[in-house]
Amino acid sequence: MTRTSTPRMSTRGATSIDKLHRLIQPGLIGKKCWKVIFNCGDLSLHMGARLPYDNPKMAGERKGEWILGTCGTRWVLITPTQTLRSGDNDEVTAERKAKAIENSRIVGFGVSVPDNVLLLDFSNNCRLLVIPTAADAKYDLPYWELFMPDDKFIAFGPGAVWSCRRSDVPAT
Amino acid sequence: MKDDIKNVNDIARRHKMSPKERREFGDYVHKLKRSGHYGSAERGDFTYKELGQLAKEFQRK
Repeated sequence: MTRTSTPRMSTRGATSIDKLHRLIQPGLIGKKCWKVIFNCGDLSLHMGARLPYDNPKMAGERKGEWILGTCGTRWVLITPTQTLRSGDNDEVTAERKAKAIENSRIVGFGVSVPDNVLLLDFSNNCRLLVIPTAADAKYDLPYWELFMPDDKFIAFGPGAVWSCRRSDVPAT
Repeated sequence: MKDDIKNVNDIARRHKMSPKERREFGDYVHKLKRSGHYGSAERGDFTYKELGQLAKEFQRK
Protein backbone atom coordinates (compact mmCIF):
# COMPACT_ATOMS: atom_id res chain seq x y z
CA MET A 1 0.00 0.00 0.00
CA THR A 2 1.31 3.45 -0.87
CA ARG A 3 1.25 5.92 1.97
CA THR A 4 0.57 9.43 0.69
CA SER A 5 0.02 11.39 3.87
CA THR A 6 2.70 13.02 5.96
CA PRO A 7 2.72 11.41 9.39
CA ARG A 8 1.72 13.77 12.15
CA MET A 9 4.38 14.35 14.75
CA SER A 10 3.74 15.85 18.13
CA THR A 11 6.78 16.47 20.20
CA ARG A 12 7.93 18.54 23.14
CA GLY A 13 11.13 19.51 24.91
CA ALA A 14 14.54 20.85 23.93
CA THR A 15 15.51 17.96 21.65
CA SER A 16 12.27 18.39 19.77
CA ILE A 17 13.13 22.07 19.25
CA ASP A 18 16.35 20.92 17.56
CA LYS A 19 14.21 18.71 15.35
CA LEU A 20 11.94 21.65 14.57
CA HIS A 21 14.91 23.80 13.59
CA ARG A 22 16.21 21.06 11.30
CA LEU A 23 12.79 20.80 9.67
CA ILE A 24 12.41 24.51 8.98
CA GLN A 25 15.79 26.23 8.72
CA PRO A 26 17.22 24.62 5.56
CA GLY A 27 14.19 25.60 3.48
CA LEU A 28 13.28 28.93 5.01
CA ILE A 29 16.65 30.66 5.33
CA GLY A 30 17.29 32.86 2.31
CA LYS A 31 13.64 33.14 1.29
CA LYS A 32 12.32 36.59 0.49
CA CYS A 33 9.43 37.90 2.59
CA TRP A 34 7.40 39.71 -0.07
CA LYS A 35 3.99 40.20 1.55
CA VAL A 36 2.98 41.11 5.11
CA ILE A 37 -0.65 41.31 6.18
CA PHE A 38 -2.28 41.87 9.55
CA ASN A 39 -5.79 40.55 9.96
CA CYS A 40 -7.79 39.88 13.13
CA GLY A 41 -4.60 39.90 15.19
CA ASP A 42 -2.79 37.51 12.87
CA LEU A 43 0.41 38.89 11.41
CA SER A 44 1.12 36.85 8.28
CA LEU A 45 4.40 36.73 6.42
CA HIS A 46 4.34 35.34 2.88
CA MET A 47 7.76 34.07 1.81
CA GLY A 48 9.41 32.22 -1.04
CA ALA A 49 7.72 31.50 -4.36
CA ARG A 50 4.52 33.39 -5.21
CA LEU A 51 1.77 30.85 -5.76
CA PRO A 52 -1.82 31.31 -6.92
CA TYR A 53 -4.53 30.67 -4.36
CA ASP A 54 -6.58 27.51 -4.87
CA ASN A 55 -9.90 29.26 -4.27
CA PRO A 56 -11.39 31.14 -7.26
CA LYS A 57 -12.50 33.99 -4.93
CA MET A 58 -8.79 34.82 -4.65
CA ALA A 59 -8.12 34.73 -8.39
CA GLY A 60 -5.32 37.08 -9.38
CA GLU A 61 -3.88 37.16 -5.85
CA ARG A 62 -0.68 35.39 -4.82
CA LYS A 63 0.34 33.64 -1.62
CA GLY A 64 3.73 32.51 -0.36
CA GLU A 65 4.97 28.95 -0.60
CA TRP A 66 5.90 29.59 3.04
CA ILE A 67 3.42 31.46 5.25
CA LEU A 68 3.97 32.26 8.90
CA GLY A 69 0.93 33.29 10.93
CA THR A 70 1.22 34.56 14.51
CA CYS A 71 -2.28 33.39 15.50
CA GLY A 72 -2.99 36.43 17.67
CA THR A 73 0.08 35.87 19.85
CA ARG A 74 1.92 39.00 20.99
CA TRP A 75 4.75 40.03 18.68
CA VAL A 76 7.44 42.66 18.57
CA LEU A 77 9.12 43.87 15.39
CA ILE A 78 12.43 45.59 15.93
CA THR A 79 13.68 47.64 13.00
CA PRO A 80 16.78 49.84 12.85
CA THR A 81 14.57 52.89 13.46
CA GLN A 82 11.68 51.74 15.67
CA THR A 83 10.16 49.01 17.79
CA LEU A 84 6.65 48.02 16.82
CA ARG A 85 4.46 46.02 19.20
CA SER A 86 1.38 44.08 18.14
CA GLY A 87 -1.03 46.03 20.34
CA ASP A 88 0.37 49.50 19.72
CA ASN A 89 -1.64 50.47 16.66
CA ASP A 90 -4.85 49.79 14.84
CA GLU A 91 -4.78 46.96 12.31
CA VAL A 92 -4.18 49.09 9.21
CA THR A 93 -1.38 51.14 10.81
CA ALA A 94 0.30 48.04 12.28
CA GLU A 95 0.19 46.38 8.87
CA ARG A 96 1.66 49.43 7.16
CA LYS A 97 4.52 49.65 9.67
CA ALA A 98 5.18 45.90 9.65
CA LYS A 99 5.72 46.12 5.91
CA ALA A 100 9.22 47.29 6.85
CA ILE A 101 10.25 43.65 6.41
CA GLU A 102 8.77 43.27 2.93
CA ASN A 103 11.35 42.42 0.28
CA SER A 104 13.98 41.39 2.80
CA ARG A 105 15.25 37.85 3.18
CA ILE A 106 15.10 35.51 6.14
CA VAL A 107 18.59 35.20 7.60
CA GLY A 108 17.77 33.59 10.94
CA PHE A 109 15.10 31.40 12.50
CA GLY A 110 14.91 30.00 15.98
CA VAL A 111 12.66 29.03 18.86
CA SER A 112 14.03 29.55 22.35
CA VAL A 113 13.55 27.19 25.26
CA PRO A 114 11.84 27.29 27.74
CA ASP A 115 9.95 30.49 26.88
CA ASN A 116 8.96 29.32 23.38
CA VAL A 117 9.77 32.66 21.79
CA LEU A 118 9.99 32.54 18.01
CA LEU A 119 12.71 34.67 16.47
CA LEU A 120 13.05 35.62 12.82
CA ASP A 121 15.90 37.75 11.54
CA PHE A 122 15.74 39.61 8.26
CA SER A 123 18.41 40.78 5.85
CA ASN A 124 17.47 44.44 6.43
CA ASN A 125 18.44 44.19 10.10
CA CYS A 126 14.88 43.74 11.35
CA ARG A 127 13.99 41.14 13.96
CA LEU A 128 10.55 39.69 14.65
CA LEU A 129 9.81 38.06 18.00
CA VAL A 130 6.60 36.14 18.67
CA ILE A 131 6.28 36.02 22.44
CA PRO A 132 3.66 33.75 23.99
CA THR A 133 2.25 34.64 27.40
CA ALA A 134 0.55 32.53 30.04
CA ALA A 135 -2.78 33.86 28.75
CA ASP A 136 -2.08 32.45 25.27
CA ALA A 137 -1.72 28.97 26.75
CA LYS A 138 -5.37 29.08 27.83
CA TYR A 139 -6.58 29.16 24.23
CA ASP A 140 -6.92 26.09 22.10
CA LEU A 141 -4.83 27.81 19.44
CA PRO A 142 -1.19 27.46 18.41
CA TYR A 143 1.21 30.28 19.25
CA TRP A 144 2.12 30.37 15.58
CA GLU A 145 1.76 28.26 12.48
CA LEU A 146 3.87 27.79 9.41
CA PHE A 147 2.61 26.62 6.03
CA MET A 148 5.39 24.99 4.08
CA PRO A 149 5.93 23.56 0.59
CA ASP A 150 4.50 20.13 -0.25
CA ASP A 151 1.35 20.81 1.77
CA LYS A 152 3.12 20.53 5.12
CA PHE A 153 1.99 22.56 8.07
CA ILE A 154 3.59 23.15 11.46
CA ALA A 155 1.58 24.34 14.45
CA PHE A 156 3.56 25.37 17.55
CA GLY A 157 1.88 25.60 20.96
CA PRO A 158 0.20 26.04 23.25
CA GLY A 159 3.07 25.05 25.49
CA ALA A 160 6.24 23.63 23.99
CA VAL A 161 4.33 21.17 21.85
CA TRP A 162 4.43 21.28 18.10
CA SER A 163 3.04 19.17 15.30
CA CYS A 164 3.74 18.72 11.62
CA ARG A 165 0.95 17.44 9.43
CA ARG A 166 -0.64 17.85 6.02
CA SER A 167 -2.26 21.21 5.37
CA ASP A 168 -4.66 19.93 2.72
CA VAL A 169 -6.58 17.53 4.94
CA PRO A 170 -9.32 18.79 7.28
CA ALA A 171 -8.61 18.21 10.97
CA THR A 172 -10.51 15.25 12.41
CA MET B 1 -7.48 39.00 19.06
CA LYS B 2 -7.26 35.31 19.88
CA ASP B 3 -11.05 35.24 20.11
CA ASP B 4 -11.34 36.56 16.54
CA ILE B 5 -8.95 33.89 15.28
CA LYS B 6 -10.74 31.23 17.29
CA ASN B 7 -13.99 32.28 15.59
CA VAL B 8 -12.43 31.96 12.13
CA ASN B 9 -10.97 28.56 13.03
CA ASP B 10 -14.27 27.40 14.46
CA ILE B 11 -16.17 28.45 11.34
CA ALA B 12 -13.52 26.74 9.20
CA ARG B 13 -13.88 23.53 11.21
CA ARG B 14 -17.67 23.64 10.84
CA HIS B 15 -17.25 24.00 7.10
CA LYS B 16 -14.76 21.13 7.02
CA MET B 17 -11.93 23.28 5.70
CA SER B 18 -8.38 21.98 5.68
CA PRO B 19 -5.75 24.20 7.35
CA LYS B 20 -4.74 25.39 3.87
CA GLU B 21 -8.32 26.32 2.95
CA ARG B 22 -8.81 27.98 6.34
CA ARG B 23 -5.65 30.01 5.71
CA GLU B 24 -7.00 31.10 2.31
CA PHE B 25 -10.34 31.93 3.90
CA GLY B 26 -8.56 34.22 6.39
CA ASP B 27 -6.82 35.99 3.52
CA TYR B 28 -10.18 36.33 1.75
CA VAL B 29 -11.63 38.03 4.85
CA HIS B 30 -8.62 40.35 4.89
CA LYS B 31 -9.09 41.15 1.21
CA LEU B 32 -12.74 42.05 1.80
CA LYS B 33 -11.87 44.37 4.67
CA ARG B 34 -9.10 46.10 2.74
CA SER B 35 -11.49 46.66 -0.17
CA GLY B 36 -13.94 48.43 2.15
CA HIS B 37 -16.29 45.54 2.92
CA TYR B 38 -16.46 45.64 6.71
CA GLY B 39 -18.36 43.62 9.23
CA SER B 40 -20.71 44.99 11.86
CA ALA B 41 -18.55 44.07 14.87
CA GLU B 42 -16.07 46.32 16.64
CA ARG B 43 -13.30 47.80 14.44
CA GLY B 44 -15.15 46.63 11.32
CA ASP B 45 -14.56 42.98 12.11
CA PHE B 46 -17.09 40.37 11.09
CA THR B 47 -19.43 38.77 13.61
CA TYR B 48 -19.53 35.01 14.00
CA LYS B 49 -22.72 34.89 11.94
CA GLU B 50 -21.22 37.07 9.21
CA LEU B 51 -18.12 34.87 9.09
CA GLY B 52 -20.36 31.85 8.63
CA GLN B 53 -22.03 33.52 5.67
CA LEU B 54 -18.67 34.46 4.20
CA ALA B 55 -17.44 30.88 4.58
CA LYS B 56 -20.46 29.64 2.59
CA GLU B 57 -19.79 32.22 -0.07
CA PHE B 58 -16.09 31.32 -0.11
CA GLN B 59 -16.78 27.62 -0.66
CA ARG B 60 -19.37 28.24 -3.39
CA LYS B 61 -17.52 27.42 -6.62
